[in-house]
Amino acid sequence: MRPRSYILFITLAAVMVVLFAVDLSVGSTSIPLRHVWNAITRGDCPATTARIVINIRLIKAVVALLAGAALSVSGLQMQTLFRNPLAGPYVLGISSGASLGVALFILGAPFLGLGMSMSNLGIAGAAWAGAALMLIVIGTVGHRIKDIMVILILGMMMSSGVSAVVQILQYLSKDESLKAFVIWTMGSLGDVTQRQLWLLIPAVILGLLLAVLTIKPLNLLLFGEEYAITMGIDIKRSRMLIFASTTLLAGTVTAFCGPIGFIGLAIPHVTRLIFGNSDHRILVPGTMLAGAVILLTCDIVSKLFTLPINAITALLGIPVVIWVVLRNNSL
Amino acid sequence: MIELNDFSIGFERRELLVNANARINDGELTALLGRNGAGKSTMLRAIAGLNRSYTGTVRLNGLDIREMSPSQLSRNIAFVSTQRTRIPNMRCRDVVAMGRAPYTNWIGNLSADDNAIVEQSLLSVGMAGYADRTLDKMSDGECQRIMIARALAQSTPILVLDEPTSFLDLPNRYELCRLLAQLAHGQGKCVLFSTHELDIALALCDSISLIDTPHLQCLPTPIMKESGIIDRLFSINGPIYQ
Repeated sequence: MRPRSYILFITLAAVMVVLFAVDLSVGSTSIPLRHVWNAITRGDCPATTARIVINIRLIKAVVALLAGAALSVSGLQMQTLFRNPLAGPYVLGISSGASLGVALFILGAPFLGLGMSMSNLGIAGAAWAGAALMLIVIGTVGHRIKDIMVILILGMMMSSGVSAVVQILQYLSKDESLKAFVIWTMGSLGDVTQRQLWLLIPAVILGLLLAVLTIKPLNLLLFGEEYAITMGIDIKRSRMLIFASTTLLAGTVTAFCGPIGFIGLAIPHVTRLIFGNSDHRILVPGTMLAGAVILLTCDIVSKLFTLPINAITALLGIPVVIWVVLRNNSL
Repeated sequence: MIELNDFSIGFERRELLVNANARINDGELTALLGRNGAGKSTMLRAIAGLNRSYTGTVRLNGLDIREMSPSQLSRNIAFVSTQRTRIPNMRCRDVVAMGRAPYTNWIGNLSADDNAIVEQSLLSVGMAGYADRTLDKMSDGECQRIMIARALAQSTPILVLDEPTSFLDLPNRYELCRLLAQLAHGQGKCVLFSTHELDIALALCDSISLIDTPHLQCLPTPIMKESGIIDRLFSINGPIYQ
């Protein structure tokens, strides 16, 4: 590893820790860092402060950290697998697949006589199923069609198709469940309950562990699928592994936080740029850290100005996308 | 050694080769000739394990490729395709190091032996001085050499290249083929490459495999020259349209 990478890893990790602490202190009431520390270590601090820090802000900060890492790594995997700099969970319609799953669940469950009581696991399961389904469709189609623009257009068309179905469902459903769905689509890091967190953490960590296992195949896939095969990767197994990892990462985050745009697309490019490297042994941990840092930043900004998180990720992500298109390099 | 037995393959609905039998020997440089669309790439891709829709058998050093695992295949045959590979921010040394993938651990870390083989591969293609440069800032000929070095790093007894000379100018074409001949003769590898360069093939190759649709003829170069097949197939005095 080059010295530059070492320095960057340490810097990013340090920035992440600082931002995590700041994220705990910033909010509708500003809590000094000293109190945050006391609240976490069960030290001396007012009971209300402790409750805010532990029950609300800590959960949200952990969600921001994990969601940032998860979406970014998922984007990196998609960009390398499809050899397309504009690929990402959002662009390829994986998020819309998850949306469709959630829509069918939230809006369709009342038809089947299911209450909202089981919605915790149900939403996650539906989002996973939707994301996995969309990946399988894109994967099978993408295998036949070599041109990368076609996959992107197909992804866009599928998102449109999915939103059409979602609209029909919305038209047919009751106000109550409609509201639940619309709120979910706005994307939020703060709606995750403590219970859901214990589902989100293991799922994302499992996804990230699988991502670490995809490092070598991803490096070989930089040369294209054919070269990767002649260099000995088991292409079916590698694709399955990458798809499983991405579904766990993007699907889980989308399930609990709603569709969050641009993070998955933009962060891998930012990471490549700052590390000046294409090696996934660097890029996978690099995007994890950079993604966590950026989404924590977005969360802090969104709390300071009380803006929805999606607006901020879009404002940060769009310049990166434009830069990629203008530079028009392949990976 | 590559052996084809009753090998038949097509492209879309067209039959390209029917019941071809051939043996391509170790320690020899063999050129694969044929008209445009005769199926040179299709045949090479099948040998490299990238196209499985053929009948008959392909054996590499006696083993049927249908019975080999991806990893086993990659330790027996290395392939250089016509695809241009330009990965930004990846140094030539790292590109060549990817060739060690069949031997490295789960994350792809190189051992000291691996590193030595990478340096040796760069040296064999005369690109040791380029180790720290990146492919996106190099010429086609230089990139081609790096991709060949990557194939060499795979340490396989068989090396297959699809039109390795196509992006190169004339002096570079000769030089590249001399390099391939050197690898075959010096390291005892079985080297097979497709080309349109008749004179280079006849001047520098030990054997010629020629697709005379739908047959495959494999002969040592001097015998091939005398046979007259090449003249018949590539003659520009062929049928003239009136």
